Amino acid sequence: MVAATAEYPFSEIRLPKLITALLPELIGNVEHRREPKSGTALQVTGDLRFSDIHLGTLAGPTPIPAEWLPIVERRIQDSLVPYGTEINDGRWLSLDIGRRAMRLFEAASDVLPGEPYIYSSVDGDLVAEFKDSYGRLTTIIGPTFTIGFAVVGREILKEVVQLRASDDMGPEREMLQRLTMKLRTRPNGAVESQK
Amino acid sequence: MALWSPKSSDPVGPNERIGRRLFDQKQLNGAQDQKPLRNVFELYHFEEKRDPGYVSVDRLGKTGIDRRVRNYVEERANFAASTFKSARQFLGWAVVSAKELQNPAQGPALSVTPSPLIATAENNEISENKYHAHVERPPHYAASRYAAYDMAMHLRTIFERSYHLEAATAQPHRAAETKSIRLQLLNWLRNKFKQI
Repeated sequence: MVAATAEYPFSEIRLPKLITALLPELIGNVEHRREPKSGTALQVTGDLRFSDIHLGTLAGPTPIPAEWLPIVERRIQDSLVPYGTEINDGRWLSLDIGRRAMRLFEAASDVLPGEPYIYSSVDGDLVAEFKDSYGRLTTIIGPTFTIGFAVVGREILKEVVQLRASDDMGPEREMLQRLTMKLRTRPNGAVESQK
Repeated sequence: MALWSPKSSDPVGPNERIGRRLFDQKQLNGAQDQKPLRNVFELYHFEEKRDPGYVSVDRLGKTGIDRRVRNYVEERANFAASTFKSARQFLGWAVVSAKELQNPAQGPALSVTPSPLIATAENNEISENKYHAHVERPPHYAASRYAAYDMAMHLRTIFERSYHLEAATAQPHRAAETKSIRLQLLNWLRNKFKQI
């Protein structure tokens, strides 16, 4: 699961109480950084206080995976081509494509419209179809690419992300999030109200 | 009345019925439990093997579906289904008027070109198809590395917007078997495309 990170900025508001008075036993273990990330050095005078401690980068929050994720992962896992199978009649996915698809769904299940309907294309790529309020999202996962087609009204919007050296599925997730948002927007541009 | 026999030099008229053959494809081995989306054609119905740069269709009638033409082409479609590496079932056609392709509501115009197939010696008459045509991939997609998918998506959108489903009929030599298959297929098609 991709972990989002949040930066907690260095505070320039100084608390009145000394840190040594609050947690004397911890003082030796805390890493004190007196410079905020922006690089502008903060001049701290006097004794160290809680507000002087730069917390750094914390991991979290973690996106909650969609309920359907384990079901779809199992479907893909059970469709990975067995060793020695030569004719693919649509029942099998190559290991490359199957694994990429699983990683993609793990990274993006929380931003997708719902459970996908999956099948193999003629070329053996994985096609995942989603429906939402005002349209449909078709995602094609190949060995070196991910294509997203959002069909909204009469319009087809397309985005492509190529395979990269990095293992990160961030660009794919962002692409799917953008296209899903299009499906939730009326073709004339008005956004559906939240009930 | 004489059988409609268009010449290959004649352009495809705007009211001609153009059918894209629908063949079944096995579901992913691990995904047999999922329900297909309603009112949606799978993308593979509009893809061609080895991407020749065009998509094959049948001309099914001059202004409506011509029964005799349809029966002639259906024989060829059933034969084609048996020639796949792993045999498939011919389900029928998704049919639109040629003008829907030539002048679509959205996206590039598609040109439908007659391309009759001549009988080969080994397969004799069944490999002939006087009503075969190509939907050419427009230059609009030439720059794309994924032109085959662009084309399939465009075609699917057009066919879904204004389609008529022409289901396959039973084959006489497999009457008992195909009767139930046909019913199953008709039900499958009806359920799949029933308006919600």
